[in-house]
This record gives sequence, C-alpha cells and structure tokens, in this order.
Amino acid sequence: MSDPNQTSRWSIDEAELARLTKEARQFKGESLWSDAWRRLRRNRTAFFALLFLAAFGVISLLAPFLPIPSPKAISLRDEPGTPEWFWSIPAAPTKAPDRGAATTRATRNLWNNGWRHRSTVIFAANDEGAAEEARARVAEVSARGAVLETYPAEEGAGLAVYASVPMLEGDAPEVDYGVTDIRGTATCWEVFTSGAEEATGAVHSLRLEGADGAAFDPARVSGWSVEARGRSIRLFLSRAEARPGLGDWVVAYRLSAELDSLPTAVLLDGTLLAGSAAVSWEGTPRGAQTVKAELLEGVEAMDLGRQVAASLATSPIDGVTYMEIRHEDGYWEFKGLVGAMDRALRRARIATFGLWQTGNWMGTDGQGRDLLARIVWGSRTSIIVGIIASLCSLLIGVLYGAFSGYMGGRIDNLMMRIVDVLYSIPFIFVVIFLITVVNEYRTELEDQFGIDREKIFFLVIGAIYWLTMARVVRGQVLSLKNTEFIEAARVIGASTTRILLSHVVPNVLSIVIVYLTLTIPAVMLFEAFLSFLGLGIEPPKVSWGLLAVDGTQAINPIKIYWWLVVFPAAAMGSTLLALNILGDGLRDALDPKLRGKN
Amino acid sequence: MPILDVQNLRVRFETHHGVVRAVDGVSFSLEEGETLGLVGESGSGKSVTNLALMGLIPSPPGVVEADAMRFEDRDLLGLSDAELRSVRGNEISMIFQDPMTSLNPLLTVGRQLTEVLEVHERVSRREARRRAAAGLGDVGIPEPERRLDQYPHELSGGMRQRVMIAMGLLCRPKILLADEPTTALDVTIQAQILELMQKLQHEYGTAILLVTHDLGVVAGMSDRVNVMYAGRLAETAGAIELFDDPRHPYTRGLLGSVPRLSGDTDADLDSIMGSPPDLADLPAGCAFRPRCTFETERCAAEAPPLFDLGGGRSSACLERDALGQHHGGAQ
Amino acid sequence: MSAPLLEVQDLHKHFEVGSPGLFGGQREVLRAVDGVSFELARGETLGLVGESGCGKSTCARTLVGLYPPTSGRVMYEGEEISNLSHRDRAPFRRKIQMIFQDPYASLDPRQTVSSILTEPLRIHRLARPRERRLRAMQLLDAVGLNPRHIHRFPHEFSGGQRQRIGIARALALEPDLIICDEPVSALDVSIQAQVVNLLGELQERFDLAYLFIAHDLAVVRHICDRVAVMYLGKVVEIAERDALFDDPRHPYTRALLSAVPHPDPRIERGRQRIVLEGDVPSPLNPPTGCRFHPRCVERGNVAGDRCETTEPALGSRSACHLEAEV
Repeated sequence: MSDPNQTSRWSIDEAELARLTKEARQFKGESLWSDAWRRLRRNRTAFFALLFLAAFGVISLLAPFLPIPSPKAISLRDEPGTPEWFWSIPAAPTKAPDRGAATTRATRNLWNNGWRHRSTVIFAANDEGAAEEARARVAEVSARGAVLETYPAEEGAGLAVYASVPMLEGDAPEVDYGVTDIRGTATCWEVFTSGAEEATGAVHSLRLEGADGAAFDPARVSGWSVEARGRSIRLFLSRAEARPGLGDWVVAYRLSAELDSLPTAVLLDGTLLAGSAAVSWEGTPRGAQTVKAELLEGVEAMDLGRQVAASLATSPIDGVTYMEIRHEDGYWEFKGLVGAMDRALRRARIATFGLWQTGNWMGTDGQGRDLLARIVWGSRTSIIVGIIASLCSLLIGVLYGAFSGYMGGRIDNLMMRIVDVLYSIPFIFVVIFLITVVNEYRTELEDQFGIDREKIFFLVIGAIYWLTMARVVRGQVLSLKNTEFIEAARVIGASTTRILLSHVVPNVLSIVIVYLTLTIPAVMLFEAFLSFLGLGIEPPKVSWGLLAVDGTQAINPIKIYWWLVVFPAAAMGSTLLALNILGDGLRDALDPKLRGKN
Repeated sequence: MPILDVQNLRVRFETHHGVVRAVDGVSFSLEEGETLGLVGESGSGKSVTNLALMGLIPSPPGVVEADAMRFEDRDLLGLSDAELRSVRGNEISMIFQDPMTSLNPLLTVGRQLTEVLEVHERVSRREARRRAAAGLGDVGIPEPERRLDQYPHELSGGMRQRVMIAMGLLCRPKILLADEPTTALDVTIQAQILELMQKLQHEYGTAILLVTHDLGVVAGMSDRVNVMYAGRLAETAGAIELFDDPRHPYTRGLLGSVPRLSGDTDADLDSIMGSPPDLADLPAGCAFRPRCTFETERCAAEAPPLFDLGGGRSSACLERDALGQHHGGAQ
Repeated sequence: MSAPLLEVQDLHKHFEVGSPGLFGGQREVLRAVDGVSFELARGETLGLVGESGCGKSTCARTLVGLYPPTSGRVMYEGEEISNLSHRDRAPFRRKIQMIFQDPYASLDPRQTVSSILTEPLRIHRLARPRERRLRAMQLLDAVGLNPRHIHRFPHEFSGGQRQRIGIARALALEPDLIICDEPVSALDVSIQAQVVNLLGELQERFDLAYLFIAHDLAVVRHICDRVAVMYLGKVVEIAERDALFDDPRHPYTRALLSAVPHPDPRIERGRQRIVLEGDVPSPLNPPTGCRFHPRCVERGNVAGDRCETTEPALGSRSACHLEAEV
C-alpha cells in the first residue's frame, strides 16, 4: 500500500506533472515564519525591543573587542570610584609612571584599574638602584613603559622587584603543538640535602630519543620552563638559523600524573640543562617517580620573560637576578570555540585601539574594577543562564508536558506526580547540597570530567525551570487533545509523535513564548539570588546577580554609591522590559489568525 | 398602533479593520400578539437587531442609530439607562440561544427567577418565590417548587431553556425577543418548546420577535417574516405568501436550499452559490449580487431600496416582478 | 455473495466515568453504544439519526478507531478490524475516513491548507513527494475550492469552505467509506445545501459509501439510501429511506419525524405533532426493558408490563413490542 508509484484516481502522467509543477511554482505562499517576521517588524515597540536585545547581545558577545577596562583587575582602593565622564578619557599609555611618582588622575586610574592584561617580570635585587636598572631593562626589551613595584624580600636582604608592562600578543608563550616523533620517559627525583627530612628540590631526569633512534643532543636545548602546575615541562631547542618572528623549537613533555614537587633542575641523559639550579645529591635518589612523557613539538615566539633573561645573560646587571614572569589576563578565558573567538577579538582590539581604553564611565566598584566592563561581562552570564533555562523549558518542559497531557490517564497521572514531587523539593537546599559536593571534589571533577561549578549551577537551573512549563503546556494540551483536528489527525493515521510535534506543539507555541518571556527574567533573578548566597557564579567572575549584591552592599547610611545601584539596575531592568515587550509582540506575530492584519 | 416600531435602524461597529455595518437601515413594526420571524444566515444582522432593541450593544465599538425606535409611546433610543433597565426584562424580555451559558451556574434557578421579580416589581421574597414556582409550572416543568432550589447544571438542556422562557415571561412582557430559542436543542425538545411558546402567546397576548435561521420553525410560528441579508432587509411578507411566492432571489435560494421531508429526493438541492460577504467589505450595489442568478447590470449601480409590493409585502430586488413570474411559471 | 463493505456486529462502547478515588471504588459505566449492528454496502449511504447523547458520534468514532470498542466486531470487507494494532490498522485506515462536525475545530489553525492536505499522503507514503502539492491542489479543485488558495490558513476561509477542506482531507487517502459526523449541522442553510450537493457529487464520482450521521432528518432523507434511528445507544429502527419516512414503525421514529418543522406554513399549521414528554434519560442509568417506554405514546397499547421488563429485539425493522405483536 505504500508504493508511491501505484496508480490512484489522482495519478498524473509524467509530462503533465512537470507542466503543472512548473505552473504551481508561480504562486508561492508565505510561510508562518516569514509572515510572523513581517508582522513583528510592523509592531514598532516589539521591533525596537528586538533591536535593543540584539544590540545587547552583540555588545556582550564582542566584549573582548570593546576598548573598556578590565572587569577583573583590582586595585587596593578602599572605596568605589565615581563615574568619570566621557570627556576625561585617558590618553593611551606609552610610559606608565613609577609608583610613588606624581600621577595624573587618568594615569593613576590606568594603573589602578590595570591594563586589561599585563605581564610582570619579577627580579631579586640587592638595592633600589639595581631595581631601577631592572625596570629600565624591561622597558627596553619590551619597548613599552614599565611600572615598578618593589617589596622587601621575604627572607634575608634585598628586594623583590615587580616590573610590569601592558601585555601584548606574544608576551605569553603560545605554542601550536603537534605530536612529535621524539620518544621518552621522565623520572623525578626528590632532592634532599644530607640529614634533611623534607625535600629541598626536585630533579627531572629525561631520556629522549629522536625519530631515528639516535640519542637526543642536550646541547641543542637552550632552556626549559615549567607549565601547568608541574604537569608539563617545556624544553626550548635552539634553531640552526634564526628566523625573524620565530622563536625556539619547543618540545613539551606532558606528564601523566602530577609530581609531588616542581623541578628545580632538569637532566637530559645525565647532563644538567641550562637554567637548572646547581643541585647535588648523595647516593640513590629517594622518592623516584617514573612516568611516561607524552611529547609534543611546536614553534614558539620568544616570550618576554626569556627575552629579558637572555638580555640579562648577555649583559648582566649587578645585583639583579631574573626570577620569573607572570602573565595576568584581563578576562576570563572561555574554553573551546568561545575562547578562540575571544582571542581573535582581543587581537582585533589591540590592532584597532592599541592600548587606548575608556575611563570609568560608570565608576568603579569597591575594589576598583570598572563597572561598565563588569556590566558588559556580567551580561554574558545572564545570557547563558537565560539561554540554558529557555532551552530546558522548551525541550524538556514542552515535550514532557505535551506528552503527558496527550497520553492522559495513568501515564499523565504518573508524570504529573513526578513533577509534583520535583516541585515539592526545596530546590535551594538541593543547590546547596550539590554545590557543596561539587566543591569537595571539584579538582577531580574538573580534571576527569571537565565539570566545574558553573556547569553544575547551569544544570540545576535547567533542572528546575522546565517544571512550570511542563504544567502550563499540559494544561493547554488537555484542552487541545479532544479538539476535532487532533482526532482528524488520528483518523488519517498520524502517529503520536507526529501529532505531538506537528499539531500539538505548534498550537501551544504562543503560550510557550509568553511563558518563556516570563521565565527568562525569573531565571536571571534566580541566578542573582544564588550568586548572592555564594552558590552561583563565584567572584572574581561577574554576573548581574553579583553586581546586584555589590549594589546592596553599596547602600549604607554614611555614603550612597548610587552608580553601583543605578547602572546595573538600569541594564537589567531595560533588558527584562525589552524581553517582555518582545514576548508580547512574538505572541501576536505567531498567531496566524492575525495574519494580514495590523 | 404597533407595539414596537423601528425605522431605519443602523448599527455599526468601529473596529481596527474598518467599519462593520452589522445592521444598515432596517425598518419593521410589531403588532400586539403577533409573531414576526427574522430570518437570515449567520452574519446577516438579525441577532444584532435584537440586541439593539434591548440596548445591549456594547459601546464602544458599537454605535446604534435609528430614525425611530418606538415601544408603545416611548422612544427606546431616548431612554436613560435606568429607564431602559426598567423596560428590559420587564416589558421587553429576551430568550438567548444557548441555555447552557445564559444562566448563572452559581445561583439556584429560584434565585435567578425571583431576582427578576424583585428588581422590576418590588414584591416580597415570598411572593416572588410563589410566582416563580407558578412560572415554572406554566412552562411545563414538573415539581416547580423543588426545581427552584436546583442549580442550572442539574437541569437538562430542554429544561434550562424552559427556565429561560419562564424567566422571560415572568413579568408578563409585552414583547418577547427570542434569539434562536431552539437552535441548541434536539428536535423533540424543540417541538416541546415551540408548542409551549405558542401556548403562552395565546394566553398572554405577547408579541414575539423570533430570530432564527430555521425556515421550518419560522413557517410554524410566524405570522409575518422579515428576511435579512448582509445587514439589510431583503424581503418582508406574510408567512404564507413568502413561502408560496418569494420575491427576492435570496429568499428563493434559501427555500431551495432546505431539504424537505416530502417531495423529490433525487434532485440536488438548489443551493445558493458562494458564501455570505464580509460585512466590512461589502460589494458595491446589491450585496447579494455576487451570489445571485438574476443579476443584471443595474444591480451593481446601487443597493436597491425596499420596494413596496402591496399587500404588506416588500422586496429589495430590482427584478422582483420577473422573479414572481418566473416562480409562477415554474409551478 | 461477497461480504458487505462494512459490517458492524453487536458493537458496544462503554465509558467509565468519574474518578475511582484513592482506594478504588465503583465507577459508573456510561453505555454510549450498547449493541449496535448494521451493514453497509459499497457505494451506499446509511443515515444514522438520533438526538444528542444517543451514541451516534461515539459509534462513528469507534468505527474509525478513535476509541477501541468494548465488545463487538467491526468487519471491513469480511476482515475484522476492530482489534488491530496501530500498525496493522494502517491499510484499513486509508479505506475508512471521517468528516467532522465543526469546520472551525477540525482544521489545525497553525497549518496551511497545503500541509493539511499533504499530511495524509506523507503519513501513508502516497504519491511522490513532488507530486503531493499538486495532489492537494487537485483535491481542492475536486471539492470546489480555488487551488490557488493552497497556501492559506484555515481561518482565511468561511465555514462552508473549511468544511470542503475537511472533505478534501478525507478524500486524500482515496477511501471507500467516509463517515460523516454531522458534516452540515454547523453550517448555514445555503452553505449546507452546497455541501450536501458536493457530497452527493463526490459519491457518484468516486463510488464512495457514506455513514451519514445527523440529527436533521430532512437532510438524511435527502442524502441517504437507508436510515438507522438510534435511541440511548441502541438502534430502534433501520429501514430503506422511503419505507422509513413514509411508514415509520417505531413510536420514537414517528415522534422524531413529527417533530421536524416543515418549511411550509400551510403544512406546519395544519398538522398535529406528537410531542414527546420529558427528556432523554441518562445513559448512565437507562430505563429497564424498552429504553423508550417512559416517553412512549404507544405505551398503553402494549399488554402487560413487557415494556418495563423486556427489552425488545430489533426485528426485521424496528425494536418495538408493538411490532412483534402485529
């Protein structure tokens, strides 16, 4: 019976079919969606709301590109900074002043608020003069103004010197790795000075061999560095001939387990590599751990730290020792696609604006972080939470409710009791419980499954917000399912799935959309509430909820920091209002009964 | 002198999508004790006419105008709200189509009946209850005392419609506006209700304005019939003349469309082609023109007025005479 | 002799009503259809008439498989189809289609006419995909609508046009039998006549059989070959059209016919109606014996209390003790 070519009383021959098809193509109908779009555009308020939300989405998406200060660089100010008006935009820094020098408001602000990302080279110095020389060296090598901070060293004489420059692309080592054909193992020895109970250092001893099985020449290795909490160690291999723009070959060995102590020296085939501490050990090393090394190979631009180190090696400064370099990013790195996009946007920002950034147009919070930047970056969290809750509502809630309502009887009873039970669980406790558990095992979860607290948080929000939707949809479906058009679909033999997806769901769509526009604001507020309790987004990350917390804390009887309340509230309020207006407009636009009207 | 006289009644609704002229220049009168049938398809304006007479057109969007709307010696249009309320349900009462929704489900039948009396006649509660029970007895409801304490959902559809009629007749109105009183009922119940209405009309001399689309009901009940189409009167005539010799193509079409219990069964019904027009977008000239088989060029020029044919008949058709001959010839 | 197109034997459909309560309890049984049997030949029209609540719509819905029958058999060309699974029923579903009463509720308001009409084709994999749209246009043409309106939504059509779309949907699967559940009772008189004529025309063109459910006896008389009268879940009389209308045997049929108003004032004023007393009893608790006896005007003509105690069987024509006596 399902042979499509069987003759029927309506069959048409091939030539006639071709002719009629051609003719039929001449009058195309307007689909429900294009019609809805056309009518949405005519609804001026709703369309404006849509534009507003779209603009908001774009701003939030393009946050790394915008020349706004870093949302996370803190200063040690003790009170929120007032908004600065846009005409007091600071000039782009070429040379930042030293600490203690007379500073203008703009440059102070620039320093306090931080470049959105900076590199700090740390030295040990004997005295102030040497520290100043070290700063000058960093400025010279990096071709940027460097800012100096000095602190007395923790033990003994001398100073700890922090020379910071705005971070540019290439300051941090960035390597594109590929699997190499070098094979090897790594052994870690803990080093004890005689009689000591505690390890005073660690030596990594490597055995590597090249593709042809030949031994690996230690002379080729010009240095090494430790990455990722000791899990990965990089060896820098000098090139046969220097090429501009390219630094060293890099061989990184990634260890399959975390070692107890970070290496202070690395041996390659018994040879101590350059940059290793002078260590000595007696007898058989204790605490030896041998792990397989996964070897990766790549090319790296010479990073700032090694450029400074190299410069010091060729012309040393008296009393100055290079210790390490730290790279502090001005953003939160996202993983995967978003992270890649953010990096590209950051490059685009530096290419477009250089180091220029706006002042604190909306003021700063109590820790000197720029409020505008925090609102923009916080919107990302709100958008993610909103999207997740909507998707859960739509996928789980609508289908669950539609199925339950459509099946009716025992199944409906059971499914709705499940929803009732879930409803009756005080979710705040579940959230507290879950987050506590996750906190307990967070490193394990993160390392092994890539589940972090935020993901749990989103999961919980998703798990709650389909419940009401399921109930709303079920109620609608109950009244729909006995209508004649559903019966008609059953008479022509439509399966339950088809009836649900092509008849029931589209007919509850308008109520679903209205409900969604109520859900999204509710979810944003729930996120704020959980963050307020310290269960949601963790500082230093930011969300609108955390901004609201800051706002409440900013209201005190002595001084009102109005900008901490007004700007986040305005951002949130206008977004929620726009969502509501858009929801109303969508409901009207999606109703085919209003087609051709307005 | 007619008990109700309506001249040039116009009702329009001003909506977003244009002005809908639901009733456009309808005139008729109703004598004491007479039954006037108002026939037409849905959207022809017959129910709106009824509501306009009761002053129940919501405004906005509705606007009611008339040259005259005279009940006895009062002008219904000029009455204040309070005066209108004293007429409504008292001297003119109404029976609605749907007995399921026109009774308040939260009040007992007795409460709803006595309320009418208490509002209009200021009688004591006991007296009101006595008369309500008598009213239920009149419409053939057994055990009226017990029914007074029941709620509408405890009654069947036919029973509810009887309650509606009892309520309509409680104050001995001079005019009963019946809007499709039997459409929602089964034929056997319909027969009961029609019988009852005729009986009560004989007893009390009430004039009935019977709005319906069922030509069978009209044939049995009405003395005279007004046929409405697209907000205007198409034809008015005595019942027998109308059914014997329709002088408007629409009336003819309607009569041809009705399947009958006697006569030829093998021929197709003489249906009217097309569908009723959109009141917001009426065709120029005669509104029935696009569906009419007698259309001439003159029909497009202007909407034909109601021509007096003598003998209390009139028709709004330019071809009314040709139609009569045609019909006569066919027999 | 070959099997009739559709044969219904002793069909019962009972519903349990009311909630069973937490610990289970006696639920009342509503006997909507209580032992209905009839046959329907190819190309024939059988009318099923009765007042609201008599079970005629439930009967129709049981026949097309919307409800499983409580007991009894439905045979299509000699094959039993009443207890088939969803999958096994598919070929028969094509053969038995249905037209619904309410043209406003029976079309999905969110689908275009095109998708309403191609859906049955898609489900049953009929016609090649590119052919389906054209098939839908042919169907529109067949029911007298403009094929160019295929992209419109149902609300853009008037009631009569929507009912035509409903008919086109039923025709899409090329059925042999269409069950018409009060297809014209929601329509205006002039539109009703158009649809009745269309149904007749399509029957001739496609050799369709109709089970025509209605409460309007005049329409039934116009369109049906045979008529069955139902009262409280049972068929009380079944006969050829002319026999039934000219010489009704069952007192209920007689009352029903006499209650129909004639669109002719002369007949209407002169005749004597049989006006039945009271209302249709509740199918939850039908009267004992003959279900019609509390309202029956012939009650006095039957000796003894047989009407109260014994249920009359549907004999050659009607289920009445009086007929059995004659």
